[in-house]
Amino acid sequence: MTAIRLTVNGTEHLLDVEGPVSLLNLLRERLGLTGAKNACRQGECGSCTVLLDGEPVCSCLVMAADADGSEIITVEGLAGPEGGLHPVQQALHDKGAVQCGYCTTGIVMSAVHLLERNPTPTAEEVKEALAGNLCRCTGYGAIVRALAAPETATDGEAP
Amino acid sequence: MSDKFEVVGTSERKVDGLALITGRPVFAGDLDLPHTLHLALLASPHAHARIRRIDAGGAARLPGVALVLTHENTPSLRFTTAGQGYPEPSPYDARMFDSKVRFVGDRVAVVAAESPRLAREALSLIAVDYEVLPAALSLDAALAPGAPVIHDEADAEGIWDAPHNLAAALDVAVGDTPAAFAECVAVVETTCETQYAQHAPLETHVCQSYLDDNGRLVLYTSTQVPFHLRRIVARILDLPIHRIRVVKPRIGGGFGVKQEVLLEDVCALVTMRTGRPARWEYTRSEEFVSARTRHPFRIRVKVGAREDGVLHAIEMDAIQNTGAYGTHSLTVLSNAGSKTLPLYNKAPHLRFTGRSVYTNLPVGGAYRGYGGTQASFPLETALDRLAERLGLDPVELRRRNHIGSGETSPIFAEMGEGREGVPMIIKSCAIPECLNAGMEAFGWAHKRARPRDTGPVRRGVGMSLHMQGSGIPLIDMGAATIKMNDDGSFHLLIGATDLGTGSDTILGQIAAEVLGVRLEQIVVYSSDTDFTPFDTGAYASSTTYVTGKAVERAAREVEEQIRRVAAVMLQTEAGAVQLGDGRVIAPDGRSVTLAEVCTRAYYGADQFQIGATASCVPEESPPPFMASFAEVAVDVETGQVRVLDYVAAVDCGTPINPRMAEGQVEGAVANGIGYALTEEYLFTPGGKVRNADLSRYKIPRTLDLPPIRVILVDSYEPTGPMGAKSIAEIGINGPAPSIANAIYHATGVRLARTPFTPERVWRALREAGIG
Amino acid sequence: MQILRPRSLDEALDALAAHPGATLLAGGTDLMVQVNYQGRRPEVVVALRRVPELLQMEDGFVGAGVTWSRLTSAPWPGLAQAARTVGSPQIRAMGTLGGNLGTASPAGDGLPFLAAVGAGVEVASRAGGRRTLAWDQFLVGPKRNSLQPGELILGVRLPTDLPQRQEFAKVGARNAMVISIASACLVRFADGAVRIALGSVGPTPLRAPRAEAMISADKHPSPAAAAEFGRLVAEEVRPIDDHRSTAAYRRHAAGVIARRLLERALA
Repeated sequence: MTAIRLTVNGTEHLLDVEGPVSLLNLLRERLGLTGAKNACRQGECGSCTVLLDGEPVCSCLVMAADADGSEIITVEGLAGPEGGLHPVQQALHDKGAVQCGYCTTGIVMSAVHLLERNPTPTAEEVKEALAGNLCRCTGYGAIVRALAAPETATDGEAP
Repeated sequence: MSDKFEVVGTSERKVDGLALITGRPVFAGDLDLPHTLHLALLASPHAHARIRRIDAGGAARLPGVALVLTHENTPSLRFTTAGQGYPEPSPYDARMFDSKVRFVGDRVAVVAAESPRLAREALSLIAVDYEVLPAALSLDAALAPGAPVIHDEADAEGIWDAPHNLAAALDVAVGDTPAAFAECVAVVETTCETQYAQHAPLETHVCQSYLDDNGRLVLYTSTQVPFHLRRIVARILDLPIHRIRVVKPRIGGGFGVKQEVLLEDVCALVTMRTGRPARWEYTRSEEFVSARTRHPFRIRVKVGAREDGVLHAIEMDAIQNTGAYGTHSLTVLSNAGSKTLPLYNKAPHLRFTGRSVYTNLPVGGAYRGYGGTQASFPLETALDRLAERLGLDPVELRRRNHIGSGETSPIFAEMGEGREGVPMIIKSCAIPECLNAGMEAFGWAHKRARPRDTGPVRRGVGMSLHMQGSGIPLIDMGAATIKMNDDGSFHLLIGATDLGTGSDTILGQIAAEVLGVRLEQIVVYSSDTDFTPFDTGAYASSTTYVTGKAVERAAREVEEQIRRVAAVMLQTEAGAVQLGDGRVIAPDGRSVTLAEVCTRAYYGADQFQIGATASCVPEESPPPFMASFAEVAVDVETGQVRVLDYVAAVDCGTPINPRMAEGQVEGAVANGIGYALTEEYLFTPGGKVRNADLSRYKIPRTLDLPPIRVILVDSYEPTGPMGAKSIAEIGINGPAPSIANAIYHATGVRLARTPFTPERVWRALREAGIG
Repeated sequence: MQILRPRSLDEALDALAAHPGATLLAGGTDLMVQVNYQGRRPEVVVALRRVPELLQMEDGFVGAGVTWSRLTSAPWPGLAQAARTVGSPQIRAMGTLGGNLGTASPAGDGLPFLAAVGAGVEVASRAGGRRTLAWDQFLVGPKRNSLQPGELILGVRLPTDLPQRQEFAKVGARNAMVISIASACLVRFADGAVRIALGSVGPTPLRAPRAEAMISADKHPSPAAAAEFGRLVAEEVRPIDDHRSTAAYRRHAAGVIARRLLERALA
């Protein structure tokens, strides 16, 4: 057992973790935060993306014991200005960018990270930022159209 | 057409969107029940072996292990895992656990233990003595004289010819094709092969089972077919159907792979034996190996035309690899013909022959496109060759030959789902509009006329034409229940299964349209066998057309009840009032609100529950149509193919929710581009999958895809709900043939084997002396 | 499992001296896949991401703990280009150059650059002190390096006179997150000297000395000379068949990207 201290969505947790268990398992099984999804456990799909000290990471590849002292933001920790949806969530919801929703929370976290640094990304910049997130339902077009700044959202129109 | 509707035809947000986007625990794997037993699978390491002896004692004695299931302590009856209508057209060739294993990944044993880790640890303590048998690891090996017999068991049912490894066979002839080919001026024959591919939903299969307060079994599971699942599990476990409740929560994609009973029988048995909740979740590798795949095919197509460019004869001979079990074997095989040949009904002479072949490889199943995808590739590339032979533009060849409104094809009557089909006259067909709109948006004429590039990177364009269906006529059934609440809202209860497609939303829109309310006034609850009426499930592009019609009918009945109550309140005739904006309005403008109507029905005179249940069994299966256009750039030195542009122009009748309809096509095309370019199972010489993970099995990412431009052309299907047909599958059929035709246009090289990986393209180019 | 989380190089070397067989954890992008897929259960883990000495990037030194994200803006164009082709943003945020060296996969994206420029690998231990190994002394086989028990990779030492003409490319089955079928890094000096190293086409990254010698002698290579350069590279690589492609294709692709990188460097 290893004792670790984690701040998750602003709340500090003191936890004993066993063996090389991943941050993803810790979030889902110990903290009941199921927004990060387990879909590949090899860092390929991005469904488990969370922000670790501000950086988007695949929580399946973070050894929980090594996350000691870190600050984690999961989709459950996002909120908009008045406590509603985060603007990224609102845009995806409004623009039909969610189908099955399984990859969506990971995409939300990658997009939140992008838009914090670049509030008006081009379609190409959105694609680059989401290159680590697999979606099998949408073909990505609706997601890119929802997130790219309006004047650059050429995806879906003539090239 | 859609401007005559208020709610239908608008791009409403998903009714379940908020829960999904905020990460609420809405998926089957998110359920966290105390005292749950975790299941782990011991899969066969051999492609073909008999289990001489299996000793589970070591595993069973490990502290924390509750149960070990093998063929020695589980029900032995045979069934099919295919979640199809009863009686299933797939052979009963599987057991919960068998004394023989038939592919690497087949079930040998399952351990139920206190933790996932303990369960996996216990697997290594199960001693299995295998008698390894010769294996048939290809179509040719399985068809060779003296091939190992994969299903030699005496108690299998419904196998066409087990001694010859044939799960199913078909032979349909219309006219006289040999004589007809002799009358043609141009005949093209081609043989294509397609690969093993996987649906790869982001959520793997996951099931949780438990006993409710009354000792009834609850299966909380990621399924496309809750009612078929309930029936099949009841039969395997010899439980009355009423003892089982199946709930499908939100599910993380299906695409056909969840039209199958893969976990639930075992979870159910563990819970029944131990009284404890059980949880089984496939790992990603298990999903690839032990779930289901797209059946690989080898298809020979021969097409002939007369001098006017009108097709005279088409032959299709399809050999399907169904893998170790015959799930969906016959029906995918027949769909290879029935979802392609009617498109070209000008050809009076048709022949479809097909065989479904058992091999010791992973198991085929339902996968979006369902045979239509596999057969579109050879047929549409053969037509590209034929157009060239005739000196016609590929679009023009389609124009001279496609089916049209008011027309039929003998195939509709000849080929159904595992039995004869149902005759049908096409009532909506906007193929000409699809071709025109697609050509224009794509810039076909201009791009087609460009001189061929000569540098290392060469551009080219190709097209193809497609059809699918809308449900299975006279077999599928959907039902809907609507009940009214005293605030003027409604509950819509449907057995239909939203896989992420948005069907809950569009079915709500249909109800809202009829009842004259906004979508927010419809509370949609679906896929719970205790509370929702029967539905065959989400497959065969059936939900919009079949269940949508049931919703429309139920809503019409409710509308009638509302009219009657309101007419009394307004002291007028029921036939004279109108529903709209949440009110019932008399001809003179007086009105009552729906809340007032229901309040009266609840508490006033002649009290009753306003509500109705209606069903739909479709009498036909109107096809959606799609014209598909692709532009590629081929690097002739490395063989890398990049798709630069893609246009899909689709006739789906009325799009109930245009943005969701576009999303269905866009997603299906993306999936089809992966199928065309990268997605492929690779095997060791012993038949083990070499790339059973998302690192080595490559599905498209953001940077891999071109803009996919979807055009929904104006169309109206008179038999559909509000004029709708279905749309979920058709998009996936386009990329392989359109891209293959574009590669030919770019380089002069024909590819007959999917996927078009860099190495495969490079080899083909090198053979042709290019690059 | 015991985990040690040293906060300085001294602490890290002490930890490794006490546990010479410990598993080293940097970004975790390789180790955790083994944990998740092969059930690997390390007994002692030394986690390195808090060691500041490993995070330095200056004066021709790149610390082993520098992530791909940081390397995308590294002052070496060949390394920055390679970093941009690494995995997803999530992998770039975690994976490190030291991880490439520790895992020693022939497909490691940073390795062709190190080989092309002739980098040295600095390692240290309590017992053996610091030593610098040439890249080809360090990378000795597929997934094999010459790191000794108790030793830590500090980082790589790069020559200070590198030209800006550095090019990296790879051929794979798709754009993003490709594990390369063949990759290459080419460096061209002002005097025309060319170094090229290739990944995924041999047991370790490898150089193509005959091709380098031939093209370095030519101050103004013609298209024919560039083609000959590609042909020689294809001869010199030592690929094998695997699930991604055959040796024959890899050999061919290596020649094509070598020629194209040369053309880019000449442009």
